[in-house]
Amino acid sequence: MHMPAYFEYGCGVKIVAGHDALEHIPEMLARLGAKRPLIVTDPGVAGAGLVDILTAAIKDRITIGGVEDGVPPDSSIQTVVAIAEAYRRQTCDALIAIGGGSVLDTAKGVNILVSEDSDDLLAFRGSGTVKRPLRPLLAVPTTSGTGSETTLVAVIKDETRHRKMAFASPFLIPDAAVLDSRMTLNLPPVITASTAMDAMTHAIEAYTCLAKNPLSDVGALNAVKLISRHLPQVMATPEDAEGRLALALAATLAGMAFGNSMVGMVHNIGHALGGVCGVPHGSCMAMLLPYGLEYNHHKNGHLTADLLVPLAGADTYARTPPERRADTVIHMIRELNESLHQACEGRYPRFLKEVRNAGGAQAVPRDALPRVVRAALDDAAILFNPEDLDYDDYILVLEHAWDGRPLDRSLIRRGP
Amino acid sequence: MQLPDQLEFSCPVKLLYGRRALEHLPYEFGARNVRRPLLLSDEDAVRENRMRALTDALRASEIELGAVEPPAQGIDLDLVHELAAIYRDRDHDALLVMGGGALMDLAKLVNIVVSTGQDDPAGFGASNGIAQRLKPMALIAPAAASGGEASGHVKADRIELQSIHLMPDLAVIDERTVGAPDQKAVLNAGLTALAFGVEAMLGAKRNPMVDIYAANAVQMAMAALQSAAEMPVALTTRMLTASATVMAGCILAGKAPGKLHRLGTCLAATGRLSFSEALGVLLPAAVTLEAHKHGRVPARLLSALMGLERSSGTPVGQRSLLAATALMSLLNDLYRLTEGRLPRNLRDAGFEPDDLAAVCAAFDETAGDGDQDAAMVMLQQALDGKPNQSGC
Ligand SMILES: [Fe+2]
Repeated sequence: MHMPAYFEYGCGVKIVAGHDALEHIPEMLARLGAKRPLIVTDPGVAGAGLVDILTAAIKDRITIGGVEDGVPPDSSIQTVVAIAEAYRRQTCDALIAIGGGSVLDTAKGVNILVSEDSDDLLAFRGSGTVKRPLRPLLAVPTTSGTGSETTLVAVIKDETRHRKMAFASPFLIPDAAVLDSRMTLNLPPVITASTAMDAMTHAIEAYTCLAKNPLSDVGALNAVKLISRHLPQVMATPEDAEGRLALALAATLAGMAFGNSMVGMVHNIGHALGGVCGVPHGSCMAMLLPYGLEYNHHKNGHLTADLLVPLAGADTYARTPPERRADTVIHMIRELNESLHQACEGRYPRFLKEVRNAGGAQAVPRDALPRVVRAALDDAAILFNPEDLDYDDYILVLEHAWDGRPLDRSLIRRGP
Repeated sequence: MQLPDQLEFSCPVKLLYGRRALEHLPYEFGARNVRRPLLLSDEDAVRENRMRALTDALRASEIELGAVEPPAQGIDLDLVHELAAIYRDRDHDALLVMGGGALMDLAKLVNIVVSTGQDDPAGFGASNGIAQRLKPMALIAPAAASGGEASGHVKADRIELQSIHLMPDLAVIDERTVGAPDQKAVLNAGLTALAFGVEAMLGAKRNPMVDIYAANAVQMAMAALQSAAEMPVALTTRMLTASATVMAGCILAGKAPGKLHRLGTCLAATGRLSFSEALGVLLPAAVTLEAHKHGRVPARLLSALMGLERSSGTPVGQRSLLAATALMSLLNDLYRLTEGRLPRNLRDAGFEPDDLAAVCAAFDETAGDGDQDAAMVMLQQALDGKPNQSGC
């Protein structure tokens, strides 16, 4: 157990999980004093029939005020204002966000406007500006990865000024996260695999980086165990509802862990790679995770070693000599990536050079790496990484990850 | 871990732990729109300089603290109403509690009255009758805690209530307010937290969310109890004890107490040992019994009890024996440390075989859920503190 000199831990969101968790929504809203929820979602989620499953599960016991299914992939102020208008027009009194991070961020923004009776979202940006309870908001995640259902943050784009606005307040945390296995049952294999690896990375970075604490540690270890046990099963048997629910729970656990303990260089480089080359976040995480662990090994190898227990079991941990445990963990993650690559018939990239964009062209040309580095140097996620990285260090990591070679540890410069 | 088909979990408590934790209160208050908290503190707060630490931490902020020091003995409705009147008259907007046990119960009752306008908290019924959010409440947690402070339970003056809304929004554990070294308090609080944690990791209702608090209750309490011999009790030991009891409260939350907890209450009602001591002597038996029922003891419980390095090589079939043994040797150590004042088993507390049936009958009355047989097995095993591999 590692007790930092100071830490905070909390997760205000209520978790309701099950194979028919959606059916609990009417009574949950009733307990929160709401009668007429507005459903917020995006075209993809609606098109996949998930909103129909939700409405069928609740419509007999509650009046649905409306369905707004136009949330774009990057949440924007314009969208938030439009949906807030719809909410008022249809005299709704609660929000159900069904979808991924952008849908939930939009719903959080809408909730600020309708609860504060305002049209000026910008007035509430920053940390701690929202100071009182908002209308009831339920989050129904449709992938098992981001963990955004547990966070007190919303990121919304200001189109006119071309920048992203951050909003943070304990009152932005949804009242509940409703995890229902039906929401992820039909996720395509590549999305299942890469979103699960995003959750895996949240858990592993929370456990191995500098802002760890003993509470997020336990949640992180439980998340790693659930993912390593259930992801291969779900890849082999996509209709495995138990496994789907386990992955959803794992993503939420991992979200709670990194929400309190932050992330490290894998997210830092991943954000840059996503921004510069458009590589999906989960794929970035999967490809970069082994490199993050290798790069930090001289600082946190003893923590990486602990991950052998949830990945391989206590017996394997006991049988493996202590100095070999971290390497075994890194090796197992590479093997997991390899097996996911095969299960997805090659469409799950293992190395940067393998990533293809929608047109089939290489998404990360080798000469794009310096631009990725410059973006990474501007990204705050590096703050809690155990070892520092300068321009050359980033290039070292990225070139290895591009080729798919394990990191040559003799080339890593060891900071104090 | 076997995942339940249905899972519901929530814990509204935010923990602020460690050096200068109090200095983070103004930010947390500000984010909740709290400007004028009413402080309830115990009689030693001034003498022990805890009050000074708090006012220092709030000095540079816009927080205006109003303070009362309720009488140490006995909570009655008159006192609750008196404090509620002060809260309203002085325009307070939150409750801040520095201290543990009955003081927190008092604060919870005051909060019900000021938040709902209902003068009689008992009117909400025993279980989950409170439907609304209450006023913000913050606990500055001491090492000398009962374990119920951060929970949604309140028990005072014939009133017994459970609700998730009674849990504090914040639990602050700061080196300057964790309380003076008191070995007995650390032992009691540590044993209670240990028992809450062990029970939550063994039960059929175990889930990966509760596990976060349960595993930490166990490992923090074990670390605290194992270093409680040091005199005066070290600061880190007191910090660990305080956080272990906050974990215990988060485990209990607004739920009905489990079997071990209820049996401990019945044993304590005999007056021969305290609630914490009762939980302690029952613990090894609870582990063997639950392991027998569910087939195994979770690896995570074993590593929380004795560390990953020592526990990881243990075959599944030996885990329950090892866990029970670790708990028994802890009890033996504490018995030696307290020169026999802390019982290792029920005989140490003066029980004879003939006394057990009455305790068992009292237990059955509290629950009436047919767990009487299990209770008897636990009591018999706790009588001499011998491990019982058969379970029955
Ligand atoms: Fe991520």
